[in-house]
Order: sequence, then C-alpha cells, then structure tokens
Amino acid sequence: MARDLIVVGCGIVGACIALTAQRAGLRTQMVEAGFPGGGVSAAGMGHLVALDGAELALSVRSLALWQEILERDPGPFEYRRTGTLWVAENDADLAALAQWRDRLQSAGIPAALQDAAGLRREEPALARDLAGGLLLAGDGIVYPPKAVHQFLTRALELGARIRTGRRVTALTADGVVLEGDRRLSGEVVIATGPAGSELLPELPVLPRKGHLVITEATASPLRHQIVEAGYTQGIHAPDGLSIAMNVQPRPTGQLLIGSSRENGLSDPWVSPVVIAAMLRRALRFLPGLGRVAALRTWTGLRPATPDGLPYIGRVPGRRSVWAAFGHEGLGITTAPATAELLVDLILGRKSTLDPAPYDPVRCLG
Amino acid sequence: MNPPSVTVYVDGVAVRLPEGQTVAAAVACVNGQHRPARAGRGPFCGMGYCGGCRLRIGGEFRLACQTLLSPGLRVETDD
Amino acid sequence: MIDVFDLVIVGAGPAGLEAARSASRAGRGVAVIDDNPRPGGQIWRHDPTENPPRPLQRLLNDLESRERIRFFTGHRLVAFESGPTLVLESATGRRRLRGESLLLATGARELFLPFPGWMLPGIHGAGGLQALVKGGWPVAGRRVVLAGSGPLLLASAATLLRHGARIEAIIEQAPTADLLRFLALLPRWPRQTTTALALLRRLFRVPYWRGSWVTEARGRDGLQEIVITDGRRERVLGCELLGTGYGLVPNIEAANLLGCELTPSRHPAVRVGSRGETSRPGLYAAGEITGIGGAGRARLQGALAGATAVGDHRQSDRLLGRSREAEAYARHFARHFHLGEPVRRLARPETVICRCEEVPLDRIPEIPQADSRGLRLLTRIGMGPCQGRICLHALAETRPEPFLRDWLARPRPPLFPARLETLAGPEVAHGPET
Repeated sequence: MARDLIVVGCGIVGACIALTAQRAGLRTQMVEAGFPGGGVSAAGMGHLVALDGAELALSVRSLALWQEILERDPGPFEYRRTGTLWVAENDADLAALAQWRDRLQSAGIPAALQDAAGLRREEPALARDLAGGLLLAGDGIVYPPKAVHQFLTRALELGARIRTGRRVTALTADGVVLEGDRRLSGEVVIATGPAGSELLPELPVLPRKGHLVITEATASPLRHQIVEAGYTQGIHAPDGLSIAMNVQPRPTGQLLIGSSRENGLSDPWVSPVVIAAMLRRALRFLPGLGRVAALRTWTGLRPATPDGLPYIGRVPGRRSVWAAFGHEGLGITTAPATAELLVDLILGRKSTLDPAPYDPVRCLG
Repeated sequence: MNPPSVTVYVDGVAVRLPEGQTVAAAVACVNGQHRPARAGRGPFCGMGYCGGCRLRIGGEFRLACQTLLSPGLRVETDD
Repeated sequence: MIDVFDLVIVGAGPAGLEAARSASRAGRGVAVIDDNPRPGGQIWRHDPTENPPRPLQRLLNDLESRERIRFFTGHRLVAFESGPTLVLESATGRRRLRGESLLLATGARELFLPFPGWMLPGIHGAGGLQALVKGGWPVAGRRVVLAGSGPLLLASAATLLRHGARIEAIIEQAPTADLLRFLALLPRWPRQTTTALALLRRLFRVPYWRGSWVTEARGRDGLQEIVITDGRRERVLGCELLGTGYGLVPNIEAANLLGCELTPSRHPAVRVGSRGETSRPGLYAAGEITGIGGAGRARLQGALAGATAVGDHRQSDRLLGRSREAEAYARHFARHFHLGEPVRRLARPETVICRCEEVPLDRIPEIPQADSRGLRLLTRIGMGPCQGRICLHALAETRPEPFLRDWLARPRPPLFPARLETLAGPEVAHGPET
C-alpha cells in the first residue's frame, strides 16, 4: 500500500518535495495557507548559485539537478544562464575569491578568476576601481513564482493533491489538524520556511528580513549576475543590518537589486533607510545606474537556522514528522537537492548527499 | 492668451509650438498620432501614470504628456 | 536638507488649492506639490493659449498674495522617509519636504475596462484625450468618439470640439432612464446644474447614445472603426480617435503607503472624518481620493481639511455645514452612473488586460483563491510602469471583492517609478525607523 505524505507549505521546497515524492510513489497531499509560492519563494531573487561555505555540497548537487530539470523543460521557469560574477573591491577580497575558486574547482564547479582588466571586459558597467572578480559561468536565475507553479503543476498531474487557504494548526500522532478542525493522516513534512518552528518549536528558525528593488526594463547594461565578494560574510553577520550588493539582469530587461539582511525582524514593511543603503551600495559598484527608474521594492523573510544549514530529515522525538525548512536565502537553488535527500530518507534509500550535516538533531537543545 | 512660440526638435525635426504645450503634442505634430513614437505605445492616460509616453527628453527619460516645451528641447522617440 | 512647512499638500487640484488657501489664510507656511507642470489638477488643466478657468485664476490670484506658500509643481511624490518626510522627484533632481501636517489631495484617475482592440494607437482615456488636447495634441478635423460612462465624456467632447475635432458620437453605457433620473434631481445642486447645461448646450449637435457601449475597436496600424451595441443591435462607426473611460477611481496609493484606513469598496477610497481627518494623526485627505464627488465637493473638502490641518477651528466650523450638500451630490451621482454587467466583460481570451506587461485575459487564471497578489506573481499583471493602476482596477470589476485588498495590504514603494539615485538618498545613518 502506498504511504500517505502530507507536505505542509507549498513554496519552492514543498512543491519540489511533493513532485519528487509523488514520482517515488508516495501519495502526496500539499497544504498551503496562502498562495502557492507566495511566501519566501516569491520574495527572493531566484538565483541558482554555487555558494561557498557550509552550503557548498547542497548547492552543487542541487545545481546538477536543476540542470536536468531545465534541460527537460526550460520554458516556464524563465531561466537565464547569467553566470555569477563575484566582484572584489580590494586585493584582500580578491585573494579570498582565489581561495574559493580552488574549493569550487575541487567540487567540480568551474570558476575563472579575473583581474581588474578582465573584470571590465566581462562587465564594462562596473566601477573602474575594483580589484577583480570570480566568474561562475554555470550559475543562473529563474523566476521563482513560476518555478513553484511548474513543480506544483507537475506534481498535480502525477496525482498529488493540494489544499490552499488552509493553515495547519497542530500536529497529531498520525497527521495534522487544519483550521476548522479537519484532520489529515499520513507522514508529515514541514516545509513552511520561517513558520517552521510554529509547528516544530524544538527547531529554531530566525527570520532574516531582506529588501529588494526591481527597475524598469532597460537596455540592460549587465551580462551577469553581479555579487560583491563580501556577500557570504554578510550572510552570517550576527546582528543588525548588513548590506551586500547583488544585482541581476532579468530576462525581462529589468534589474533586480539586493541585498539586505536584518536579523529577527519579521514585519513586512519596506524601510526607506534600508532601500537607500542598498541602492548606494549598488551604485558604488555600478555607478551608471543612478538614472534608471525603480518600479517596486518589497521585503521577504529568509528562514535562518543557527548554523546556516537547512533542516532536512526526521524530527527526533516525533513519529513520522520530517523537516525541510531553514534554507535562508538559498531555497530556490537548493530545493531540488533538498527534495531528493528528504524523499530518499523517507523511503530509507541511500542518497547522493551525506544527510548528516542537515539532520535536525544537531540543533535540538 | 498668446504665449510665445518655441522651437523644439523631435528626432531632429524642428517643430514650432506655443510655449507651455506638451512634448506629447510636439511628438504628435511630427510623427502623427498613430505612431507617436517609434518605440513605446504612445500616450494613453494623458495624466502621467500609464508610462506609455516615456521618451528621452533633453537627454533624460521623462513623460511626454507631463513635460512642457522649452526652447531648443530635443526629444528622441526611438530608444 | 529637508524643507519644513506647517502643512504640506500633495495635489494642486481643486481640493489641494482650496486647502492651501485655508491654511495660508490662517497665516501658516504651506507647500503644495504636484507632478503636473502647472497647478489646477485634471479638472482645471487648460491650454496655455487660453485663459485659465476662472475659479482657478481666482484661487491662484488669492494664493499669490500670500507670502508663506510655495509651489513645487513638476515634482512628483515618489516615496516617504521616516517622519514622514516626502521624497519628491523632478525632471532633474530630488527634494525632501516635511510638514507638521500632511494633506493628501491626489485626486482620481480613470477606470478603464478592457475590450478587444483597446490597445490600438488612437485609443486613449476619455479624460486622457482631453488632457492631451489641452496640452496642444492636435485633433483638428479628426473624427472622434467618446465612450464609457459619466459626465467626463461630455466635458472631454466639449474640449475636443473647441479644438476642431469632429465628434462622431458620445456613447454612454448608463441607460436613458438612469440619466433622466439623474437629471431630474440635479437642480438640487445649482452649480452642477449650470455646468451640465453649459456642456449640453455646447454639444447639442453631437449624437449622445445612451444605454450603449463599444464592444470592439478595429484597425490595421491604428484605430479605424468601432463596434457599438445597445445589447440588442450592433453597428459599426468609423473614427480615428476614441476616448474611453468608465468613471473615476481614487488615487489612494500615497495614503495607503502611509497606512491610512481605506473604505472596503471595490475601488477603495480614503476613509475620512467630517473634517478630512484620516485614521492617521496629522494626516488629512480631501477631494476625489475620499470618494468620487466632483470639483465642488473637492473644493469644500479641501478648504475644510486645510483649515482643520492647521488648527483654524473657526474657519473649519464655518465650512463644516456646507460639505453636507456636496456629499449628497456624490451619492446621487454614484447611484445613477453605476456600471452595467456587460461592459465589465468585454475582454475576449486574447484581449490584453495588463497593458504594461501585455498579459491577455486567458493567461490570467480563474483560480478562486488567487487574490490580486497571487495573480500578479503568476502573470506579472500590474508589475509594469503603471504599477497596476490600470489592470488591477479593471480586474477588480470582474473578481470577487475585495480583490484589491491583498495588493493594498503590502504597499511596494516607490509610488511612481523613481530613479535609483532618488531613492538612494543622502547619506543617512543605519538604524531603526522611527
């Protein structure tokens, strides 16, 4: 008999898990309190990037899975292989990028170090005083709401079901309780991003608020996604506000400009102060963009765990409850590998990735 | 009232209109109403929010319907 | 540097200018900002080759004699900083203003209902076409039709006629019976009656079809003909220009961004008390953003809110009584120009709904749970330069209410497209907003 799986939360991670689980023969039901993909997924930049540090293995495996997905079906994702050009303001940053290049290469990801002249050749719109950069040609971008919709549609085609507009209020011994006291039974995957600890208080998630700006369509001056070398340090800035430049040329000709991080804030309001700081940082690297018009700004909440790695695996002390949240700002990139790993764990199969670093047990008190 | 006329240039073509009329009017006088610009949709709302008449005016992107003519102004409609 | 005033007024139309007069009478320092290059708003917009409308001229003369008033025309309010400080953008730069009080008189815009062919060159807003013509847009000898609903069609036709256009027809969707009921009670409001009679006198040769609407526009490179129906018979009419508009919707975006409470209507307005107070202290609203009611009501509301905003209670008390009759007119108007069902559903599957992103109706799914936000994410409707001002209001006519609620619940500044350097602002210390 097929096992029943209830996936709570239909963002990119939930939708990807539902699709993978349904394919693997589980009977999958998704529950989404709002609009599928309307939470963290919609608020983000939609980058598919290899990121240094703890998430390297997960992002590298996930990029390989993305490659397969996009080769099968490139259209609906609005995919663009922009590459990522990491830029160094000074020699110290450039040296750090050089070390990272070595780590990437040992993980099988090609990366090309650029000196100042090379940087200008790759991206003439960049400021003239930068030290150099690192080009990861395999990175790209997708449009997250459509990516979620695509995974969801495929899952539904394979027989998965979804309930939207209903919140899960509690976990039971063999399933979940929905708003209005309706009960569903089955094994449960919690994929609700920053709301993960509402149902699983033993797994802490800290909201990290971010702001983004999108411009009008321009004759885009950029060929690559541009990120400043300090970005990965910004991620782990412990308190307060941190800003790191990240600008993407979208397939629409628009520029998507980030990024900011504010720990512990969970309000949705756009702060003009943060927007201003973020834009000043973008203009420092791309000084020619000042007269380009911004169309919209918005915020989103990254679900951050204490050690910067997502929870993927069985929740200790609970019967048949699985966690898949806490992907911070990398959920779009890492959703396919998360889904692969989690479904392998559910089915007791050996997985490509070592599950230990993501096992929720590490963060239990 | 008879405001003085000014000469402006739409894609290099000189047009003379009363000062205080809009760039949208000047563009329509040169290019005709149905193709007010070679790019973009042309004016729709007439009140500055649809964005259809955004053109390079005096080197800056501005709304043609909200911009008044000034002597020597150069308007480009083909960006 | 931030310029500080006793009262900052956004919008230099009838409400904004009257508010400025009240406040400056009380001896207070006032700033009036407007994105239009000249004061007057939409209703008093005028051709520079003609004299300004008399009420505008009188108001401006009066205001010119005051010392403590400054106009920032050609300046668009694009964002707020903490305070709230207003961030303005002009053709060349940015400016910041702050007021002890803030009064929003941002007026209204047209409601457009998409129909097949409405993207053709030659089709404009009805009020939009009037505004363009007042700016010198040439229409002499052109065959023009005005179609939609409301008295703006008549006003626009009169302007176009004066500029030499040939008005082929005015097409009003409201049935004759409703219009007659509207006219029968109109004499209760003498000012509106005078305006209506003057318009009708100027337009007496122009065919005025009631209970009819345009179902389609056709043409190769531009508009050539339109199809009109009264619900039973169709007929085709040749024309080169079409001005279309189905009434007005309030420009609430700035008020919404500041967190003012809105009415729960299909096209929300700012909820105000009897003296123009919004739900936010120190923040007032007057004119069409509080509900569509015409220039007379806007002037009264503006005068009242302006006096109240600067604490001139004597002036405010005196004006309070007069605003009631204006409210009654607004209700009377709304009752008789309500939109019939057919004009809401003219779009075909391939008809573009979102002009900016060119999203046709059949790409907008009929997901019941899909609020305005979900639809937006999937289809990009409302994500272009007009920021949803056209398509989301059009969709609100066919979707269950309150369709716009989710959209409005999370404002996404800037209020209008604004240059990155405008929003990047001066150097400010990082810290929590106050």
